[in-house]
Amino acid sequence: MDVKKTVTILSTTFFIAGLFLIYISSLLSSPRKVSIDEITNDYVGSFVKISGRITFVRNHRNGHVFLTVEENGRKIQVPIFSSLADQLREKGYMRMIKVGKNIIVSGFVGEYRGKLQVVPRKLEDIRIP
Amino acid sequence: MILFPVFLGVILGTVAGIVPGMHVNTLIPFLFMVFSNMDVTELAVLIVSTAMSEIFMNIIPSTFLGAPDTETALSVLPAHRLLFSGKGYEAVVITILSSLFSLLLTVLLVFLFYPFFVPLYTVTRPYLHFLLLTVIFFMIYSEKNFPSSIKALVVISLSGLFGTIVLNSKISTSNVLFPVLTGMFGMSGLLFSVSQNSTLPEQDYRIRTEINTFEFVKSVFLGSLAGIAIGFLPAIGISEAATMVRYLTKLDGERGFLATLGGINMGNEVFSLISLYLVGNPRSGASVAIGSLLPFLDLGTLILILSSIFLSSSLSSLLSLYLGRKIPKLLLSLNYKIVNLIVIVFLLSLTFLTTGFTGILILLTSTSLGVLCLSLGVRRSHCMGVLLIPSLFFFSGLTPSIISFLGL
Repeated sequence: MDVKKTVTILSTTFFIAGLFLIYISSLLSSPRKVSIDEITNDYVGSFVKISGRITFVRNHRNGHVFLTVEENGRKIQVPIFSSLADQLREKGYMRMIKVGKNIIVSGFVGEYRGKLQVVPRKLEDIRIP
Repeated sequence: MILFPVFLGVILGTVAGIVPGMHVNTLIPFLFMVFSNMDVTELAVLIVSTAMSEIFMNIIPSTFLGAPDTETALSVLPAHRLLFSGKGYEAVVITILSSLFSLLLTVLLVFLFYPFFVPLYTVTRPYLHFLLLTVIFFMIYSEKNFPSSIKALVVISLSGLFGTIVLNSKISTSNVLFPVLTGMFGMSGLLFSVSQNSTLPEQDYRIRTEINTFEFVKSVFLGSLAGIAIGFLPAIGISEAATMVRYLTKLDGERGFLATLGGINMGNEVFSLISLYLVGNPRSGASVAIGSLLPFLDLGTLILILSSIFLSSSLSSLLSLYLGRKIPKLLLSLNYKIVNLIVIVFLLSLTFLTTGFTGILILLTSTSLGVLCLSLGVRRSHCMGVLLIPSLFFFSGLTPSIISFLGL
C-alpha cells in the first residue's frame, strides 16, 4: 500500500468533509438578536443582530460610512466599509441611511480603539425597516 | 520601577513561548484582569516584556517538538532538519543570536526611517491587494518544480476557501484563529511525527554555529528589513517573508534561513509593538493592548518601553540558551512519541476550552490541510492562504460579493 497516497487521499477527504460541515453549520445558524446595552467585550468576535435608531452618520473620504446606532440610550458604532458602502450606493439604499431612521444590522462584534462596534459584511446584513 | 514588570514578563513570556499553543495574546486578558491595579505604564512594560520573551522561547518547542522524520524533511521546518543531524541546539543558538542582532538593527532602522512610515502606509494601502497577489504568485512560483507549483496552488486555494468560510462564518468566535493556525502548523506536524515513530537523535549542546559571519550579518539585516516591511502588509507571515528574502537574494541553507527567520521575527515584533505610534494602526494583539494603556507616547515613556525591550530580551536570551539545553535532554529521557501525544491532547483541550465544539471541528479540518501539505511535500507556509486570500478579497473590495455568493 502506498502510504503517502493514502495519507493524501485521507487528509483531502477529511478536509472536504470538515469544510462542508463548517459551511452547513454556518448556513443553518442565524445571528443572535441582542440589545445594544447587552454587548460587552465578551461578545467580540461573535455574530449578532442589533436594531436601533441612527443618531450619527459620517462619510469618510475613502468611501467608508460610519454610523452610530442607539437603542434605549445606549450607543454602538457601525462602520460600513467602502466595498459594502459602494454596493449600498449603487442599489440606492444609502439615501435611506440617515439620522433618525431605524436600522437593523447583523455583523461581527469588534473593538476599535477601545470602542465596540458591529461590522456588517454584505448588503443583506443591513435593513431599514 | 520597571524591574518587577520586566522580570514578571520574562517569566510569563517563557511560559507562553514554551507551552505549545500559548501566545501572548492569550495572556493579555488575564494580565488586564489580574494586574488591574498596576500603573498603566508598568502594565505596558509587562506586556512588552512578555511579548519579547515569548519570541526567544518559541524556538525551543518549534525545534524540539512535532518533528516528522527525515523523509519529509523538505516540507518541514529548517530547525527540524538540523534537529535530525543532532544540531537542534545550534538552531536555537542561531535564532537567539539573530534575534538579538536584529533587535539592535530594527531599533536603529525604525529611528532612522520613522518619518517615512505614515506616508508609505497611506500610499501602499489602496494597492495592498496587488501586493498580496504578487506574494501569492511568488509563493507558487518559488516551489522547486512545476508539479510542486501546482500542488502549492492547490494548497493555497483550499486554505483560501477555508479561510474565507471560517473567518466570515456566523459560527466564528473571537479566538477562531487559534484552532485554524494550531491545526495547520502545530497538530499536523505532531500527528505526522507520532505516526512515523520519530525519535530524537543525540544532540550536540555546545554553543557554536557553523554559519559564516558574512552570511549571518546579511541574513539578519535583510530579515530585519523584511520584518519591518511585513508590518505594512496584512496576512503575510514570517515564513513567506523568509522564503522571499532567501529566494530573491539567492541565499540557501537552513542556518541562513534560521538567521533570516530570527531577523524577520524580531523586526516584525518590534515594529508591531510600536506600530500604533508609527503608522497609527495596531498590528498585533499586544500593540492593541499597549495602545489602550498608553494612547500617547512621550519621550520618557518611549525610553522606558525601549529599556524594557532590551532588558527582557537579554534576560530571555540567556534563559532560552539554558532551557534550550535542558528541555531536549528531558525529551530524550522520555518517549518522544508520548511527549508528542501529550501535546496533542493538551492542544485539543485548550481548543475546546477557548472555542468549544466549533473550534474542535475547525482544528480537525485545518489539521487535515496541514497533513495534506506534508504528504504532498510542499512548504507548509502555503497554508497561510487561509489569511492571504480573505485579505486579498477584503482589500480588493470583493468580500461582500463573495460572502453573498456563498450565502454566509
